[in-house]
Amino acid sequence: MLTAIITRDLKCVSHNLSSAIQPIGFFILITSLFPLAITPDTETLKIIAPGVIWISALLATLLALDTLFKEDFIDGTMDQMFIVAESLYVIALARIISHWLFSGLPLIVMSLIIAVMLHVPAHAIDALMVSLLLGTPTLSMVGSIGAALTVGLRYSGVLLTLITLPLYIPVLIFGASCISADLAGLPWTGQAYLMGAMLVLSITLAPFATAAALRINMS
Amino acid sequence: MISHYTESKNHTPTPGQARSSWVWFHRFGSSSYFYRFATLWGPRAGWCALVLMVIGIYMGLFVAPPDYQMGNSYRIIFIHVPSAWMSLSTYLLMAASAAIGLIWKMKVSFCVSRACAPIGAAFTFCALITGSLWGKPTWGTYWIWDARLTSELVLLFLYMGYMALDKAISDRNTASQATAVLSLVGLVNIPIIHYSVEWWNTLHQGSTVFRMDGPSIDARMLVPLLITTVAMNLYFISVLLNRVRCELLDLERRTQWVREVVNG
Amino acid sequence: MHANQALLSVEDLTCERSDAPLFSNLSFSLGKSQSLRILGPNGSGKTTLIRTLAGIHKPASGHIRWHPGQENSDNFANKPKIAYVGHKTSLRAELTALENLEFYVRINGCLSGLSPNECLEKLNVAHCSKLPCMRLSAGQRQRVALSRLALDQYDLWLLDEPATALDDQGIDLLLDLARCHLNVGGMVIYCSHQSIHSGLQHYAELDLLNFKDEHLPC
Repeated sequence: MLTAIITRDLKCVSHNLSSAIQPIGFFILITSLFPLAITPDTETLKIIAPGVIWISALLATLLALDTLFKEDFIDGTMDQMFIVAESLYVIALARIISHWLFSGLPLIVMSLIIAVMLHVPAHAIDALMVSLLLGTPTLSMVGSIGAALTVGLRYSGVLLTLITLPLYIPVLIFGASCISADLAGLPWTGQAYLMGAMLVLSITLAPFATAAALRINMS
Repeated sequence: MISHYTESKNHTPTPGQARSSWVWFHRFGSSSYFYRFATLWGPRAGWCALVLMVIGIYMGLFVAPPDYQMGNSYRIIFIHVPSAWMSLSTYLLMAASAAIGLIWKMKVSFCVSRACAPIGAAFTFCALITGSLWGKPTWGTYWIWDARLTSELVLLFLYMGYMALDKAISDRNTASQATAVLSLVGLVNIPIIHYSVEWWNTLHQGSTVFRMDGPSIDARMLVPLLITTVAMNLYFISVLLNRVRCELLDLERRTQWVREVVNG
Repeated sequence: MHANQALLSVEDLTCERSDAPLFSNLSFSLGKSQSLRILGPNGSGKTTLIRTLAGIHKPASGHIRWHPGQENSDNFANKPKIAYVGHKTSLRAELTALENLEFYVRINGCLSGLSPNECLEKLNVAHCSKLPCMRLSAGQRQRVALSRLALDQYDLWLLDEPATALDDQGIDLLLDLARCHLNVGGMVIYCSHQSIHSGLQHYAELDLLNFKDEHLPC
């Protein structure tokens, strides 16, 4: 079931590549707006870079969340999967994994380019990578709850943002601080451990909450 | 074929069906019982709240001595601190009754949960406004990114998300269950948000924040604070019971007991 | 007791939508090779009944028993293989008809029915198997959705307005498929505003507005 759904999502993405890369384009666009709005000055960019990268990652993840369950829900595939699986947990988990594979992972790769553009020095790249690797799956997990809660609504974009962003605050704080600490030459393993803890917690709890939310919206 | 719709599902069970210690729990699960309870106690709690609030405010303004550092401006704590406390405890009650609703399928408990949200948001808003008004004479600015104020702001966002979701879903059953899940997710997140904000604040400590919670607070300050806190709690109970009454009337509008209530 | 052992028995089923009761205390039973058409005007709860039988919608009260008489008859494990075709086609628009059916083969595990291509052949849409579903017409999409029925030897078909957008040939093909299904002991419960029951054996009707305890003639 899990692999069947992920394989299908892979096929969907390959058929519809342009919509799949939209969040990535959005990510690059948003980050490049900051130097335009604030300053192209190298030192300032270095200070704001962690925050810029993380806020853009947050928003790009949110953008892809809206359709996380909605397409399956609208075209009736969710009903069929539910009849076969009799539990929504696996379906939720599979969709979360797909979401991360097709939005989180490309985002991490792209952040390398963004880091160069924002003059993040090479020694801070490892902190950037670790924080994104630990943080973006958490974003997918937590965000899936909001996506499942709003799955029955036609226009849910703003509402989804409203209920999901407050839940993202801890990830934002620790993710950005992980990179800033490394930029300042301070140890950043503490932040990384805390992000790991949040990831474990969200993997444990979020799929259940997502499955419950989907069940509520189906009946 | 529209059948008459009795509320047999969640009605008071016959004695002996439930263990006696749980009878009160089942009774509160019955909408008509809860309605009668709320009609009786809601206004009483409201009057008590009014009296206590007048006493508390009077003592706070005229009996309590001025603070040696802040003079008279500190007196806003008699409103600020109780509302900040209430904003959090309302969320706890909201999430707890949501959990009860999800586990035991109790409609009354969903009503309590939904009724909590606007009141909690109002308390949070009140705490933020009074906090920022207090900040002007104390810190010289209306807003600083202090850990508590920031946490309170995030709490307001959580309430807003809850209410927005509640309004957006048209089906009542779906809405109350969906918001219940959201409030539980928020409950898990509140400590994480709180500690991450606190940690973030210590990291970026710019200005020195005046700490109110010193060990020694004058009894003449403490007593009015406690009185206004009790008054706030009673006010909350009164408003909550009234809101739940309205929710119940709307929810059970097809049942016999609502017809009896409405027709006098 | 009926000559034909009932496989599905619905007892005192009450369903509601947005807290308004749709129908209450509905009881009927269905045995092998029987088909049941649900009647009722719009809004009488036909779709809700079908979705409740599929396990998607939760009833307000009542029981759905599979293999009544046996132990654990309301146990989920006893649930027969159900095929549900609803208003929504359950086809991903960007995937081809074939890829959609392959997905259903995969999530169902190994199936004993026909191959996806043969299923499409049954409803005469094999020529569009390589087209993305969004490029198909409504009737073609409905045919692809219906061809899912041939993927496995299902015990029960639940069809919600299966004739929507189908032409005469499509309805005939669907009826052929349904007859085969009933001949090997399958059950069909459907609702349709067109009368598409010609040639279905042991056919009965259930009116949601005016029902009594229904036991199908056998």
